[in-house]
Order: sequence, then structure tokens, then C-alpha cells
Amino acid sequence: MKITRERFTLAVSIFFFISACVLFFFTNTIRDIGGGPFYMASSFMPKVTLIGVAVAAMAIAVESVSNYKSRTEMEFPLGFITKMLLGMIIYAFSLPHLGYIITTFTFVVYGSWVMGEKRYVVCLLNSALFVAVGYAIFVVSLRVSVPAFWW
Amino acid sequence: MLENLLIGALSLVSLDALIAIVVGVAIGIAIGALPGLGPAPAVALLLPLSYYLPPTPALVLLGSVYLAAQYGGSITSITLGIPGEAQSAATIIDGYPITKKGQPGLALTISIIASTAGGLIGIIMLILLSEPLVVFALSFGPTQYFALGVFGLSIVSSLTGGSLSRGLLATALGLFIATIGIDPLVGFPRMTFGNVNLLSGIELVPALLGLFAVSEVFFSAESVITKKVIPAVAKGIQLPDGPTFRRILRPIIQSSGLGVLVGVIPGAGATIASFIAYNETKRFSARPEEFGNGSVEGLAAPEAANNASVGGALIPLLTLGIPGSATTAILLGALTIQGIRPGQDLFTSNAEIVYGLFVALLLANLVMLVFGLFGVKIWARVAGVKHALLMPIVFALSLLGAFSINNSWFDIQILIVFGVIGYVFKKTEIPIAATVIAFVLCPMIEMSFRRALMTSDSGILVFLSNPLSVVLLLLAVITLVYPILGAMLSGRRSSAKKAGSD
Repeated sequence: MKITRERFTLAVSIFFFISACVLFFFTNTIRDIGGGPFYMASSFMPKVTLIGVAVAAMAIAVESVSNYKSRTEMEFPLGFITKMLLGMIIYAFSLPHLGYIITTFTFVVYGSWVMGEKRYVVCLLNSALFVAVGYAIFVVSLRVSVPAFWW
Repeated sequence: MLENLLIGALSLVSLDALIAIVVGVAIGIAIGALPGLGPAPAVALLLPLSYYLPPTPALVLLGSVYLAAQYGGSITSITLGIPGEAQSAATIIDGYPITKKGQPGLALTISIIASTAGGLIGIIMLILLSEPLVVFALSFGPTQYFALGVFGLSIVSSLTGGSLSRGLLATALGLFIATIGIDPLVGFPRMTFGNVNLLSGIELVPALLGLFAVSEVFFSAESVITKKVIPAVAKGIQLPDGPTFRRILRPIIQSSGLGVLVGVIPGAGATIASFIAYNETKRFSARPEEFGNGSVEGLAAPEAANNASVGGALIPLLTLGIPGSATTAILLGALTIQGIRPGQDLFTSNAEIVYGLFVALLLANLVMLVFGLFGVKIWARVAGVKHALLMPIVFALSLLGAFSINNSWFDIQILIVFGVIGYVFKKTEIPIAATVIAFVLCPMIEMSFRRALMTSDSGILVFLSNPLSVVLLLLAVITLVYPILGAMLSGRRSSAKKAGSD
């Protein structure tokens, strides 16, 4: 999928601007102790930073609009990104339940396949090697507990 | 100072610390040699390990990785002709032409010699300048620390990224993210939306891993379909002859000094150091016509500068707690994990740790020289490893690192969300480094601000009552306003010229 950099940047800046405005005006999750000047309040720093985000986002949006005619195209491999993201989420979700060995092995093979490695033996060997080395470093050397399946 | 260095050296007489140096250098060169991964992702990937190691080996490991990854990036530039990271871009200008002339071994050897020399000079400057700066910082109170933090962020905003507005957005976002959680002074939750997991704020390690490592995994998905590269295989080391060595000596020393000076400036870092060093070396060279066509001076200068900038970036980090680069921001996170505060405390109650780090970095440079000279063929092959085999492993490592801290599924969500944020930032040229530095500095800045106000009767005017604070705040304003004024004036000049020609 091709998209112009200016259009993408404009969309991102509008997203940040709207998010900053919503968080500033419509969230009331900060409780302040009564009394004292406003700059001593607990909410001061978050609100100042949100103003900074909104102003900077608006400036980027204006820049993008003024550069609209230059139309720098950029590659946006939505299919690849979606497959990788899906794989990551499934890996993360299944890790605590199925354990380190099965999930990590499967994810590394899947990830290599998505990224274009078609030599399946190489994928399998690469994955097995990483799982073994990772286990040796994390579990054996550093005694980090990693999720296990039934054992 | 010598006594402290001896204490530091003695603290390294343990298998843990020595293994940390060797392993750190090897991992640093290997990760730095991989296109797309540089010092920041390398240190971020190993940051979770610092939870499980004692302070000295943990900091020695991360410091060695930082140093070695700076050199590792040049391997990709020289053998592949593409910059592994931004700071290696200047190396391509003359490094790759030397490879194309059939001498990749010579290019890699000059690179490692210059990197080692630059690294050693940087660390020596760090050792010499740290103590006086710590003594000077003794007079700092909350007012000065706040002004210094604001000044540091203003420089980071203006120097990083494609434009000032992008730098400001990244900085403001980093500051905002750092405010999520319980207010450290008052104890009330901020921006948690009733989510219990957010009470302790956004965990540093998953956020860093997401921004640097996971975002690179997404970014690499593009390079699978957009380009293929074939690495030039190095035939082994090729030591420079006498005249060549004499030619590169002056640029190495000059560029190392520049690298340290530029490295001290927050946000400037190795990239700017390497380009400034290249330009200055070309300006004073007896053979400027060779630059761009395989000049040995043009190769040595940026290499010395970018490794010397490591020492420079560590100076404000260790003495004032102000990171000079994204990687030192991650190191500040490592110090926090170990419960160590930079500044006077570090040099008094933890002297053996900091001086141990200094000695370790000196040794790491020598180990890097050995690995760089004798492992040339190996590193050249590492640079050519396919992303398809590597990037899933990078994500798996990141996930394990993030999960192992609290065994928390929420940390993994943070990892993935920040990975997406980092990817979007890369696509839109919003500097991740500014976000990370702001995220790490925010607690210090906010606490200093509020403490200064609480301990003074003059309210907000307390920041104008101290000369150093006034100067730093004024410099911060100038740093932010100058690019805008400059753009407006040049716009007016060009429209005046256009009107004149019409």
C-alpha cells in the first residue's frame, strides 16, 4: 500500500491533537488538593505537557498541509505489518498458558516465514537454536523464571 | 582520582565483571553490525538483564555494549554501503569507496583503530572532567536542576528529528507519558483512568524495548520487500602502512576532541559529532580532493568522533543525571533500576561502581580492538544475516525481557503499543530519542520544579533569583525561538529577492 508521507503525517498529527484535547478537557482523573497556586497542583505537569503535544501536533499538521504538493510516496506494507502484529499478539497471549518453548519456537518460525524466509529447514533450525540459547541464558544462567507448559 | 581508579580496577577483579566486558563487546559489535540496530536498541535489549546482575557487572555490560555497538555500525557502512544507524552515515562517504577499490580489510582496520583511539580518548576525558563537574554540581539546588533539565530538553527538541515541531511533539509526549501514575509528592493517581496497572506508571523497560527494538521489527518488514543487499566479504585485516598511519593520526586526535565536546550536548550525539568531524577534517586536509572517493582521513575522522562521543555523553549523565543521548537515557534507566542516583552520591557512596565503570570502559576499548582486528570476517558475515531470521528473534527477546520483570501481561501490552508508536514515529520522522530522554528526565524536572516552589516564598520568581538558572532558562528560550525566527527571516529574504527580480 502506497501513501504519501505528507498525508500520513497529517493524519498522525491530527490524531495527537485530538487525543491531547480530549485528555485535557474531558478527563478528570487528576485530583488536586484545594488551595495554592495552579502551578503547584498535581495536574499542572500533565496539563502543560498536553498543551505542548497539541501545539506541536498542530504545527506539524500545518507543515504537512504546506508540503502537500511535494507528494513524497512511501511504502506502507499493511499486509506484512498486520500479519506480524497478529503473530505478536497471539504469541504474547499464549506465552503464559503454553509456555516459553512451544510459543517462542512457533513464533520465530512464523515470523521468519512472514518476513520472506522460504527455506523451512533454516527457519526451524534457527528457531530451535534461539529457543535453546535463550533458555540457557535466561533460565539456566540468570535463573529467570519463564512460563512453562505442564512441566 | 588515581586512588579511586585503583579502587574501581579492584572491583573488576571478578569473573562476573570480566565476562561482562568480553560478552558486552562481542554482543555490541554483533548487534551494531546489523542494519537497523544500533547502540540504543542493543542496550535496550540487554536492559532487562540488569535486574538480575549486581550493579558493577550490569553497568559494565551495558557500557561495553554501548561502546562496541558504536563501532559495529561502521561494519555495515563499510561492507554493505548502507548505514546501520544514523551515526554511521558519515562512514559510508569514504568507507564504502575503499571497499569498492577492493580493500574492505583496510577500511575495517582503519575503522577499528580510529574507533578504539576515539573511545579511549573519550573515556580519559570522562575521567578527567567528571570530578570537577561533580564538585561544581554540589552547589546545584532544585532551581538549577530544573533549569538544566529544561535546557537539556530544549536542545534535544531542536537538534533531533526533521523539524523543531517534531522534536517538540516527541519531547512533550515523553513528558506526558512520564506523568502517568501516582504523583510522587502528593500520592494521588494521575491519568490512570481507574486502571490498577497504571498506578506505578508506564514501566521503563517495556516502553524502551517497544520504541527501539519492536519498532525496528516492523520497519524491517519493509526492507524485506524493498531491497536486497549482498555484502562484500572481507579478506581479513590489512594493517595500514606507515605513511597511511601518519595521515590518520591527526584526524583521529582532532575528531576525538570534537566527539567529546559534541557528545556532552544533550541530543547532539554521535551522528552530529561524526559529520562535524568529517567536515572539519576535510577543511584542514592537505588532500581534500580525495574526500568522497576513499580518503583514509575521511574514514578515520567520523569513526573516532562517534566513539569519543560515548565518553562525552556519559559526562552529563554521571555527573548531573542529564542524558546526552537516547542510549545514555537508557543507561539512566539502568542506574535507576540499580537504585543508584547520578551526581555527587554516585561519586561518593558508590565510587567503586563508577570508577569500576571507567576502568571497564578503558578495557572494553582494548577488547574491542582485538575483536575488531581478528573477527573482521565474522562481523562482515554477521552484517549480512537476513532480517527474516533475525527480527522474530529480536521480538522474542524483547517480549521475554519485558515479561521477566514483573511477569505481567500488561507490560507486554505496553511493549506492543510502544512498538507501534515507535514505528509511526519512524515513518513520520518524529525523533524517538527525544521522547525517551524526556520520559527519563521528567521525574527529575517535575520534582525539582515543585521542590523549588515549596522551599521558596517568591513563588514562580524563584527561578529568576539564581544567575545560573536565569542563564540556562534564557538559553532554552533562545534554542527554541532561534530556528523559528531564522525560518521567518529567510522566508522574508527570499520573498524580497523574488519581488526584486520581478
